[in-house]
Amino acid sequence: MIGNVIGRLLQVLPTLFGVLVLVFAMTHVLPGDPARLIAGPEATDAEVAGLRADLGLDQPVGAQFITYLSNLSRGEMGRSLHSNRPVVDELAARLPRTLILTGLALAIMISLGLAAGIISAIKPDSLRDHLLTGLSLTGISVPLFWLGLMLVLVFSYHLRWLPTGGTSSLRGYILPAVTLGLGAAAMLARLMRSSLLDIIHQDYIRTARAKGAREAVVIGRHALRNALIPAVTLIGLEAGILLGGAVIVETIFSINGIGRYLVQSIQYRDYPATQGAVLVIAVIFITVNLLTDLSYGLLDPRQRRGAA
Amino acid sequence: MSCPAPIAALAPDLLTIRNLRVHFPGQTGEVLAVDGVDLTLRAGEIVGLVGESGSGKSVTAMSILRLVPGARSSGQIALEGRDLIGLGAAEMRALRGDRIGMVFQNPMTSLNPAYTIGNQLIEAVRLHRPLGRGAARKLALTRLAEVGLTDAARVFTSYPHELSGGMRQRAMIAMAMICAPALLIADEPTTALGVTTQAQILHLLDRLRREHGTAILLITHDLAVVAAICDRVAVMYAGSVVEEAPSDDLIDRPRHPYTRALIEAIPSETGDRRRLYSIPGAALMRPDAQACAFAPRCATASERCRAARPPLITSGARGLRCWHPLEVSP
Repeated sequence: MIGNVIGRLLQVLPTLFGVLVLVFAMTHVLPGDPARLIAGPEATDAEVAGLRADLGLDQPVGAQFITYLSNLSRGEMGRSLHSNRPVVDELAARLPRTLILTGLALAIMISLGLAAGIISAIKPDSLRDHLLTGLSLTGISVPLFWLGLMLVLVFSYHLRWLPTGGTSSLRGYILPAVTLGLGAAAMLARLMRSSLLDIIHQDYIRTARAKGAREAVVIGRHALRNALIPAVTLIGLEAGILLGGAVIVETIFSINGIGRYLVQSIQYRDYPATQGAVLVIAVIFITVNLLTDLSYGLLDPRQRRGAA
Repeated sequence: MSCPAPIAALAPDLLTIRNLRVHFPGQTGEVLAVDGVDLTLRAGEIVGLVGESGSGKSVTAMSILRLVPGARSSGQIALEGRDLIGLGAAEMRALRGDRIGMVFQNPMTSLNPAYTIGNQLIEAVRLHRPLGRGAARKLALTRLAEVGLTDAARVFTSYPHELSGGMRQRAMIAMAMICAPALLIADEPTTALGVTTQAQILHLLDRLRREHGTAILLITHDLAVVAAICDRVAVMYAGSVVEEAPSDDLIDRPRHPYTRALIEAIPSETGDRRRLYSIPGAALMRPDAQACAFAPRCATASERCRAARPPLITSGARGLRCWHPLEVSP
């Protein structure tokens, strides 16, 4: 088990390196000269050249990359071109909001998705199964921005139950998190239904019944644990997709998180800020995938001690 | 290894099945999978239930546990005098795994891959006995040792995928026997195993019934298995029992043409190189209820066989459902 964990951690390193290369390359591949952009349209060629030297942009690309890495290792991500504040500080201020939003959305996805999938699978082709299957199909099909606007219209504008966003209290996160989590929950519900239905027909479920176990034990203890293995894969993948969705949802609900920061940075051509935001999102994504991989071992003993 | 088992002959009836019929609702009307099965098991007796795939032998066995999804059963199944068909769900659950143990065909897929063998055995004990984990663990280890798993402690902490097929089937048997049931149903317990392991498992079943007095209903398509350990055999064809007899008697002197055909289909062990015998035709899924189900494949079938279904006639230890029984030389 411990060897497995170390192995997985080592596998993360090349991925992380690849991310760093890509993030670094962004400034060099994208059209436009950062130095000219920073200096502004009024600047003379000499001023731009001076700035370029100050920023180290006249160095060979390899040397620039080394400098980038060494700065990063000291927690340096440069200054935002827009606000002139350190990017690290700006990101640190916004990260908790994005984490709360995606965390809540993930909780909504897991609780609703698993519950709906299990309820469907226990009585396939029943009325409630058809109802839930129909709902989840709708959930998958509805676009995020439309769902968000509709929720605001109904729950904020007409019913006045919840704020349209804002991050002063947790209440403000409810609508954005539901918007973000519902589609993912629908996806999980469908996967959980088919996975559980598949497991329920396995021989060892028949064995559990033949032992005299109650149906709740047969499902809860014998079927669920095995059915969760594919669900965990989806939860891991969806966590990444939720981060992508956060970019949209934060914009709709004006939550000042990493996603919205990324969109604004791109609009301002704020390269250091864009680099920082992309890097943070990528690191979160890698971490979630690592946790997903490690959780297989907890669920499935065959992955723990080597398959027979 | 065949045994006359004098104990069994004197023992009281443990399981009596009378006129069991099992229907499945299908797309084009109901399918009758089991059509009037009668069967009796006495305490400590091993009875073989033999037949081709689709003859209804597994459905009959699973009907005893009432674990046939979507089926409707009628008739009578009585265990120790209690009618199982009318039993409440909770009372039925209390019998499963306690008075009736079950061993399935495929030990590779019949154990839960997510839990250790020990965990699954302890669960089986504690569903029926008010024992703490320590006491349950002790009983589980005893049973594992009893079924010939010499390294019981290691098997206890192993996951199913870490064991061989034979070891898994032994663990499965230990789990089915954990509460020392009165009846053990074994559905093709050796079919998925290698030849040497097969013999060992049969030997184990025979020993367990001697040690615990457990009656065994052994479902198989293999008459060699029957000859090895069964006291009596019931041969099923198209949902009903066509012949029943003490196993030596049945194999030496079959009276139903189907039984004789089954015996002739056993490949000879003496190196006889003639072609393998097979029964011509295939069993009908939905035989005509007004005729002998075997008539279309039977060499001795007459008009009478096609016009009326023969009743099950019992005389002494034998039962037979045939209008034209084969003559037996005394």
